[in-house]
Amino acid sequence: MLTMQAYIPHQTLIYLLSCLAFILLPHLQRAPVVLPAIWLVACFWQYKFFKQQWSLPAWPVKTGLMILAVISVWMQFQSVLSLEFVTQLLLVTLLLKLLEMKSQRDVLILLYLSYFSVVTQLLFSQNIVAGFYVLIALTGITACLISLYQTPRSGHWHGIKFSIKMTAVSIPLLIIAFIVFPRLDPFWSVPKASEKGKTGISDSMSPGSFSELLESNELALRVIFKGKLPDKSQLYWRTLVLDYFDGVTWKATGHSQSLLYQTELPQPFSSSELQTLLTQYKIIQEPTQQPWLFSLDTLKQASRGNYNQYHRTLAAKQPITSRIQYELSSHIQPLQPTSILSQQQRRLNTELPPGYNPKTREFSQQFRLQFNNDEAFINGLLNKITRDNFFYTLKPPSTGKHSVDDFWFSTQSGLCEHYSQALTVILRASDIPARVVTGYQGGFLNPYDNYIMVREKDAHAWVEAWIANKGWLRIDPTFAISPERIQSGAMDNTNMMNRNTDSNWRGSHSALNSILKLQLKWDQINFFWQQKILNFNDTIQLQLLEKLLGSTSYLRIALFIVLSFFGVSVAFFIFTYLQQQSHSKVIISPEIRLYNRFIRQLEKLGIDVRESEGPNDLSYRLKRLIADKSSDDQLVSMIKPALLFLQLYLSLQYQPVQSKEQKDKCLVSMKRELKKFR
Amino acid sequence: MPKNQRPKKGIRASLQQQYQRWLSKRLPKQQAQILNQRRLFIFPTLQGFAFLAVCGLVLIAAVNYQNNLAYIVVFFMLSLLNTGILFTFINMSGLKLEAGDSEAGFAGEHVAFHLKLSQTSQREHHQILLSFKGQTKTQLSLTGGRGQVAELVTQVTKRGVFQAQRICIESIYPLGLIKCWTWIDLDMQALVYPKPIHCDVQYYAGCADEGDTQSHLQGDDFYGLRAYQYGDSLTQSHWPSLAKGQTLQQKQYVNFIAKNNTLNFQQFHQGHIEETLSKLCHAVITLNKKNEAFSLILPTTTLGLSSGDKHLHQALAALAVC
Repeated sequence: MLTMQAYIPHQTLIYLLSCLAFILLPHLQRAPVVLPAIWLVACFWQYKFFKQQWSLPAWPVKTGLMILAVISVWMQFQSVLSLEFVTQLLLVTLLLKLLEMKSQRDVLILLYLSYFSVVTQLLFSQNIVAGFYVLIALTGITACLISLYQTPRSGHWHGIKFSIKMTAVSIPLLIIAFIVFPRLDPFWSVPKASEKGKTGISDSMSPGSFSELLESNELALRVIFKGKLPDKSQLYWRTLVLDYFDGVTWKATGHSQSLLYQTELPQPFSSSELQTLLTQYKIIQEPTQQPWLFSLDTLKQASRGNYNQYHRTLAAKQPITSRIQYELSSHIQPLQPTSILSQQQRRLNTELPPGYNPKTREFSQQFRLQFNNDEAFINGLLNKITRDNFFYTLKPPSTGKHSVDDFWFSTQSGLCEHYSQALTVILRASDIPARVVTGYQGGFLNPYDNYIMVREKDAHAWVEAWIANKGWLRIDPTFAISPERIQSGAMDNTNMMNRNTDSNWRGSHSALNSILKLQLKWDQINFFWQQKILNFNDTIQLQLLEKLLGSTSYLRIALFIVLSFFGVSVAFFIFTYLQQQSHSKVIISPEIRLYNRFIRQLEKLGIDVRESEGPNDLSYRLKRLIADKSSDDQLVSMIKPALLFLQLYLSLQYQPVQSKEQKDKCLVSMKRELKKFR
Repeated sequence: MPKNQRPKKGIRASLQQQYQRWLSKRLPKQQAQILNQRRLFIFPTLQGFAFLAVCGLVLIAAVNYQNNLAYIVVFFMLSLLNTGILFTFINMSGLKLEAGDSEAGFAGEHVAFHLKLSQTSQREHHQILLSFKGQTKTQLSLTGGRGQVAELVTQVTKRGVFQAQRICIESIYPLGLIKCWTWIDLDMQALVYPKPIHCDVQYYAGCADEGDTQSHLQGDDFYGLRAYQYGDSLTQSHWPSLAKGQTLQQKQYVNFIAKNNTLNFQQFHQGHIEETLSKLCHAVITLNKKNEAFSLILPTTTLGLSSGDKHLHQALAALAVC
């Protein structure tokens, strides 16, 4: 072990205290107040200790603070095994260590702990901002480490500057290690960050369940289509089928047992003939804390999840707690005839709770009589919505016990949930199997990266009705409302505006305002971050290595690693060498450079200049040369500008106060004289 | 078991020997050396290994949480360690060391060696530690183009010409995680005088009588007073006598030069050479302190009668190499 000085340089102390504050900052939203308080106490105490006014706290103070901190952390989280608790405890240790830091060894321990505790922040948040925050924190800790060993009087910023330099040099190998290092399976299970509330579309639908979603700008899905983008009007992202109605709430049958999700879709593509008809796409879904996955009708293949063949929906085995990604292929158009409806299914999808909505049921049966078949009946209903005084609003008036009665006959305004619920009830009353489907509709094309962003405000509910020989038919009553009756508040919040009419994705982007452009750009950067960095796994790794190296044999990878180490080192040495060169050039001022040229010129003329001979001596010698009668005229005429040059040089070098203009003027005349001299 | 113990010792000794042989082949003696990749060794320090352990912990967290950003933190730390190697190396490389003069010393004490350190390029060299094996370390930094001289001390035990050991030059700048070092031999030598031992031998017997002295009435030692004569320097007047009412007296100074201060090796010799030389050494120092002249007769050389510091050093050097 080399010399470990006992004292801590004040530079290190300042660096370390600010570094710890920086590390603590992102945890403050979860941490109890005690943590920053301990930091302040430690700062003050270390200051007093540094001034040699106080000694470091005795054990009762430290123990007291520790007990206080642990209790307050426990009060905050209640659970000993939660990740939050463990993290906060680590921070408490870090801060308390600060109270007994008195040697360089203590500083090292603190710095090593800091390197580790930086990571804890990443267990809670992994977005791009957190990523760069951590990089800055790491550079800061490294600056502390450097300041411990730096030469005294190196300057206040030396540690930080040097650390930035070292970080910059470290980044190429970091990237290479990130690409090459094998991704291992977890060694053991660890406490996860506690779950947040469920988000997105819920598993039931009751009045008002959509209002909040439709006002949210949060991202729900990102979708990348392979090949041509389908029409926007085709993009009904199915999540759940709600086929059970108790008079107030719509629910999905059988979901609680998840028995219906038994079927697994074939994963590899079987026939290439089929493949040409299929639309292939990849969904990147934000965490919802619910198991539901999204798909387009009619789903043929899926890389993930279990399929419910009755509902034609997809679900994961566990609630989705982190962003996931899955590949699907669907047969979008036209709807294929499905197998016959079982008696049980028919009964389920025509069932209505007794004692609710009597007026609607009566209306349905009477209205049905005007039409020959079910399809005409449905069209009639949609026409009625268009013709009659139905409104679309984000602030629907409240309804009573007979919610559909109230909506259909009196309020006549509401959201997709009201329309789809009413239509389903009406159809069921006429014994037509019908059900509510929830999910998202449409999306927004990010023109910078060609993927579709589906946000919470695209949440939607629509209806499916069983038509004999045709199967389940999608009916969207909300889009039957005539455009002039969409209330202005709802216009910018939903995609009602550019619904079926707008099949052209690009068209809607012509009038993007700059804020929206920025938002899209930001989302694109985030998407890149998630796709390329957060989602980097062994599959992507293999693909990337194959692309980079041609094959993934161990030999090639080993060679790649060795070469990159070698390359980084060589680049570093070349860079240091070049920097030295440029550094030495900077030192030589222009007048000295001119002087050097002048000396060389003199030597060409045959006047040797000794190393020890200064400009003053030189000018004396030259004057004597002029005075000497024997020297030839040509030489004398040459020497005159030389003398002037030397005079200028001397004034520039040794006259103390000169403005920049004067200096420049002097330099210009020096150059002139030098030219004459040739 | 006892059988195994002896060869083990032998193995260690022979390994040490082999190492020294390898070292002298790889880093041969030279009065001036510039540190480069051939001369420098590099390895993590204890702190560096602790840092690696922290990397391991972060890696476990990264794997268990399947967290790519935590992976990035690990790679940052490992890459930083690698960058540390480059920076620690570049800090040492290009440093020029030259053997300077050395200060002689007595056996059992310390001798000091001077090393000239200088930059061979614009590159600065920070926090360089220099030392002989097991001795105190000297720290210095070279910035701004000026060279520096480092003084290294080492303990010497034996009289004679001391050949300096290899010098350890090391640095853990800038991170403290990596140590770069070398053992170089600048082929430096120093004289080691015998350890002075007091003796009762009457080496200046018969020389203490002042009657034998030559008095040059000019010198450093006070000799006596005489009456003031015209032209005498007033600086040497004895003013207190005038104050007492006597005539002005003049102080007289002389240099005593003993004729018979002959230090003969044979006279001191009592069977053991080193002991004899030590005693002679003590005598030489004592006489020099008294500012007395002496001559030295050794089996190898003879020094004539003289006094002063130059003579002392000649005598000590003669004793050292005898």
